[in-house]
Amino acid sequence: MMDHSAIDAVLDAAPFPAFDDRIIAMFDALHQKIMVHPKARAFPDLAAFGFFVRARHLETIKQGYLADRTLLGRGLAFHIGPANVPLNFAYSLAASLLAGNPTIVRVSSKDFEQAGILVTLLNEALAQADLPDVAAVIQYDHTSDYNQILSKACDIRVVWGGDETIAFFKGIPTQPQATEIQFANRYSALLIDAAFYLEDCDPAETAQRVYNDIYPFEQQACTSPKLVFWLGNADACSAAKARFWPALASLLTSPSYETKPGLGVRHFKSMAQMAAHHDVAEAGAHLHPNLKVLNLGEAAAPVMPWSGSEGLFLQTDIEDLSALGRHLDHRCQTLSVIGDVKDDILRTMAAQGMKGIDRIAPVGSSSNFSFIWEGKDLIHAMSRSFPR
Amino acid sequence: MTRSQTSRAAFTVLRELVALHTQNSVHFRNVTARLFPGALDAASLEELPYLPSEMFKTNALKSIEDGDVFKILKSSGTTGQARSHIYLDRETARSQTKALSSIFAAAFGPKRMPMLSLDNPGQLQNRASFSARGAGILGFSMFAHKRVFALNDDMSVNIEAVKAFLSADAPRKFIFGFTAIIWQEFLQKIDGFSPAACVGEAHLLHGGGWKKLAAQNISAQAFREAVTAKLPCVKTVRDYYGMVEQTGSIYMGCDAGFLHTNAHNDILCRDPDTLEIAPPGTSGVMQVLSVLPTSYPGFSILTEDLGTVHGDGGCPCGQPGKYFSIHGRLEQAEIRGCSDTYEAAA
Repeated sequence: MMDHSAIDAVLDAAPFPAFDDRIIAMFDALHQKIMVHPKARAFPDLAAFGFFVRARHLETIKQGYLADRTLLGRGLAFHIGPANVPLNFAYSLAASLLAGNPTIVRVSSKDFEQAGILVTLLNEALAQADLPDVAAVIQYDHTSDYNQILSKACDIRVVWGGDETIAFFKGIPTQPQATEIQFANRYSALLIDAAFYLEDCDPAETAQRVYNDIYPFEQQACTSPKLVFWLGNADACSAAKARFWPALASLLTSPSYETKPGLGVRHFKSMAQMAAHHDVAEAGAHLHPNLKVLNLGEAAAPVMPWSGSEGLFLQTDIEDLSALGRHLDHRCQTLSVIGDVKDDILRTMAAQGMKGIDRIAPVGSSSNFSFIWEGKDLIHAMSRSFPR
Repeated sequence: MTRSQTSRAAFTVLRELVALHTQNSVHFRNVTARLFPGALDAASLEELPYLPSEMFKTNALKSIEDGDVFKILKSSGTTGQARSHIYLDRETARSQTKALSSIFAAAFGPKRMPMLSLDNPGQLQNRASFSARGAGILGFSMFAHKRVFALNDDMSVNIEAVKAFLSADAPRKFIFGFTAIIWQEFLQKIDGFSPAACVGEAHLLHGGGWKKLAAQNISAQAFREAVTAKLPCVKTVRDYYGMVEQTGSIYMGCDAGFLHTNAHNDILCRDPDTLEIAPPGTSGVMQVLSVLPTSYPGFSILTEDLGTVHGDGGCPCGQPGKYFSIHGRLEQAEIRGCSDTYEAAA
């Protein structure tokens, strides 16, 4: 993917108005290419990205942003993509281009097939739209000079990939006026209103939604819940658990889900690290190698740095929402919910002055991208705003 | 003693160690109580609790008071990588030396031999905090004498020192090094010596893992042949398996090319996905057990090394006890081990 001339062209490009028609047309062409690609079905995340950048969707978003203002790009944007979510870099790139910035994205050296497909199709779409110098997706190793060169040249630097990557790039200066956007290590949780689940939810359908939030990313996406709150009295919670976990386990037996070698060791490492310091205990027999549940007997936040992935869950019962403030700290990103509780959660957050929880998402949509991410409006952060 | 007797003796000690560390290490007590309920009443080796080797990097695991710490061993690790810290008191350090001495004597005889270390003297410079390589060199030096180093501090071969060692008048000589370093920094750099240049017979012991050599498709057989081709006086080539977390109770290789348990240790192989005991002959992750650690809770450790226990008794070499092989490391596991300590400049 390394093409030096492509980088040089983007380095010299000028910013442009947000939601430029040529950019939207280019994305629509990319959407069409993805739709007809033979692998689109095999990679739901690729299809989802294609759907996200179709012109109709982008035009709707454009109207919202430009109704009362003009937005112009800031200049060169340099994005460092994460390694945990294959196509996260593409959403970062889309936000950047739609905000009006020539964009260079460094993708993880971990190879994802769908990322390779997307980059090929993107390059085709850029060439056909005669926009070769607005974007480049590149790959290079950590020791490359490009981190310095691009950090010095850029007007916007977007760092995904967590605390270590942020610390690494803090050592590489940008220009004083440059905008920096950083996405630190976060964890996410799922809150289930036990009574609502028992009365109003189809177990199989709910399990599928939970699955979609977690297993396509091996539970490694920041948005994937690792912690489950059961809201309600003890009887309702235990009845809901008895229905919920087996329903989720039954989805894991399908041949499309594969256990990665060494799972038991990785889970045990997490479990031992948690158990050495915190009150956790296994909640009964494992339903599947990729579904292990630990009961948590203390506040969640200090435990979360050791929490595992690939289907390792912590669970705790709460009688009312006020317990959230005790369990969650500023590192909590998404709270997925099953139940009609969003307004009550927002009230609790305000009442308790909680720093945590940047997103509240209905279960099954936690990974859906939005230009407002972790409460930051990426379009506004990456453009200059001129109110009319 | 037959193998099953030594194994039972080891199990009795290991069960006592569960009680000892439950009492003295809060980390061990917590993990055992929360993940291994009933561990204090374990009826078999398989039921003993274990810790992941990673925990020795992320926690100061001690079963003694800070004032009783006599020495801290650290694992090898490149810059930026967390390293294991192993806290020894005098008693554990002493029992490690005793065990290593008896395992060494069983393999090479009780008489001290002159020693050639296929490494550089710089490994021993900081005595307060040895690398795994330094600890290995120093550990085996205790059972030899007149130690010389085959390499200079810049990793070039000190050919005069090697010549002098080989031609010195002694009937039996001991050569020690780490597998990858022997291969890359010694065997690849020397032309080889004629039988006439050597006096007496030499015994080579190497450890530190096959990872680097396996990546280059170099087999144990090829390694052995390269050693004897370049050093014709070498009569036996043995490897060993050990780690800084269980210094002393190493698993010695035999002439048939297998690793063996002894009175100081035991080994189990677990399925990497379920952690159930893997049937003999099948590959899995190794759980290493040592009767020595009393100052730190490291007597039962789940490693990320992949291996196979071939059987309990029945090794072609004739030795009793479990015999096994190590194949490599679990994928995605952190890189560790002596074979990754030295990165030659490109």
